[in-house]
Amino acid sequence: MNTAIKTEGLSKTYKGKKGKHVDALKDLNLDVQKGEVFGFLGPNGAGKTTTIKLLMGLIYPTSGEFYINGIAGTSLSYKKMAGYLSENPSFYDYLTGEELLSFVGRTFKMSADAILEGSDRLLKLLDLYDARKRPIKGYSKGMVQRLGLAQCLIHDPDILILDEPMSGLDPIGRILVRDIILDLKSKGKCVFMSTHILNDIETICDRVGIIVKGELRLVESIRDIMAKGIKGYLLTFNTISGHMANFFKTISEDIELTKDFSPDNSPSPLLVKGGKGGLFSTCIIKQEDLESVLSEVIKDKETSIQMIEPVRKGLEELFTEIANED
Amino acid sequence: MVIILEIAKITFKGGMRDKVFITLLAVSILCFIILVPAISSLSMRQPREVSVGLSLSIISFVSLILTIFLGVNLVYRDMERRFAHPVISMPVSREAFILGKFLGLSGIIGSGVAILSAFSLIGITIASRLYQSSIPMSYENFIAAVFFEFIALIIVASASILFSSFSTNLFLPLFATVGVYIIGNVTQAVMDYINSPHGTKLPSPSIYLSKTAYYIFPNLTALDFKFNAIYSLPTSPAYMLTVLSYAILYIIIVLGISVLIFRRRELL
Ligand SMILES: Nc1ncnc2c1ncn2[C@@H]1O[C@H](COP(=O)(O)OP(=O)(O)O)[C@@H](O)[C@H]1O
Ligand SMILES: [Mg+2]
Repeated sequence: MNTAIKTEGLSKTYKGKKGKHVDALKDLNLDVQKGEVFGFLGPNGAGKTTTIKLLMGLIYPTSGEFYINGIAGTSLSYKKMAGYLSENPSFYDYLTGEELLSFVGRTFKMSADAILEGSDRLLKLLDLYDARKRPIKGYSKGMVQRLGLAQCLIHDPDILILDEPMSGLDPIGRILVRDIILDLKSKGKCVFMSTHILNDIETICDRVGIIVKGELRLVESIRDIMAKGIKGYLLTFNTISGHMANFFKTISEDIELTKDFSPDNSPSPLLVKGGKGGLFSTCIIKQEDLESVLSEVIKDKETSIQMIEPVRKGLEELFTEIANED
Repeated sequence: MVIILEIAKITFKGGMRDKVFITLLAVSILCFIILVPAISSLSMRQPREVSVGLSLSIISFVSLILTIFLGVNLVYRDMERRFAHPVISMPVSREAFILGKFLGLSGIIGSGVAILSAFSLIGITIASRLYQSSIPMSYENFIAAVFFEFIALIIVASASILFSSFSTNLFLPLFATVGVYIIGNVTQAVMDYINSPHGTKLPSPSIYLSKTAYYIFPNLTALDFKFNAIYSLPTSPAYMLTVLSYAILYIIIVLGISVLIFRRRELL
């Protein structure tokens, strides 16, 4: 029983006018674990919001089912464990921020003390404390978004379902949201967040799913994506001998050497001590050559390495690749 | 139950903070205190009767406007502006939402009617002091009349909730609600006509149609106790109880249908 969100063949077809149908979500099978931060990535119109609205019982699946903490989505009680932030949150705008939070708290049957404590803490955290007694009508878009975050956190739910939590926020707001999500992660909460903005996803999420045109194309942990995405290593040398240069030549014809690097010119002009005015020479090698290169370097007294950095295909590149398939 | 009351409270607050609601109430209060005594005193013989009649008409007109305006505004707008979405995403059942909305709306209508009645009594008292009337004022009858006015209006409010529960545009619930009020006020008269000697000569489809309308639409004529209030006529408690049970049953059915429809509604 470690699954927080499970979907089985979840599908949604919107029936439009004149028999126009949109297959917004096709056969989604997903398992999101407790304590996991799951990034639900996809371009605009991919079906992210549709999935989230299905999970919150706002719309009903055409077929398939889902479970939250093991409770079927057909029952109401699973909603007690979840907090939801919609893409464009909209709250009764005649209420003040404080009144909204207390309404939410009471609906979740929290005690008056707990509501007061939680409301003050969250309003302060989300920089809305000064605006707490003003009607939401007068809030900016970013403030409503932050209030949305407060209202989905007030009852301290185990599962947070956030639709594009970063959109509509300024850089400071985004950092705030990122820190809040990281804090939730440290408390063992499950966060399911959709986004088409990839900033910070690598640091926030444990796992991501990429959905395109209603189909889930990939589910993978960030760590695996990072490991698999390694294309090679960038080596930076303090000094490099002609022998090493020739060795590089033997590994591969198409080794990328920085412009001044020439194995024929021995001793290499780059055989220069690093430091003031000195040159660093760098080259990129394939992942599988790393070990042999390193053992060669250790043997060679005239060569010393300053830095080894992985060169990887980032999430961004992977995302674009998958989104543009077919 | 707690949740239903929470929704009701929020709805009530929304009405109480509505500028149109406040303005309409303020204007009507001025009418009661200034206009009603002034006009009533013009009819030298029956100032009390005129002031009661006038006040009850103003109360029913103003509160009807409030009911239709708030009924459509507070329920339809919830869908339109997606205020309902965060509520439905909480552990709030669709039926709790509908019932809460209805209770909140009834609360606002009740407050509106109560405030209007209180101020109208001031006007009536002023008018009756100016000239003595032959028939004494019956406060019980006045209260019964406004109470049943309130009941008629919450029937109209339940209809506005029903139409808002499936409509995706504003005009359907708006006109349909006005329609229910108008038809609800004439079905009794039409029925009486059909049952009169003249009525039997009518073509059968129109008789059939009128009878159907009589059973489908609320009979608001039955809830009209204005006449008794104006002339201080006695009203039978048994009759009032029957009418009240009819109204409650009617509301339960309409809200039941609203719940069935709203359960299937997708909040896009
Ligand atoms: N109410 C609706 N009626 C018809 N089609 C819709 C509706 N809502 C969304 N869609 C369509 O469903 C697809 C998925 O939309 P959505 O879930 O909002 O995508 P995302 O949130 O990933 O941007 C899109 O093609 C969109 O046009
Ligand atoms: Mg979306």
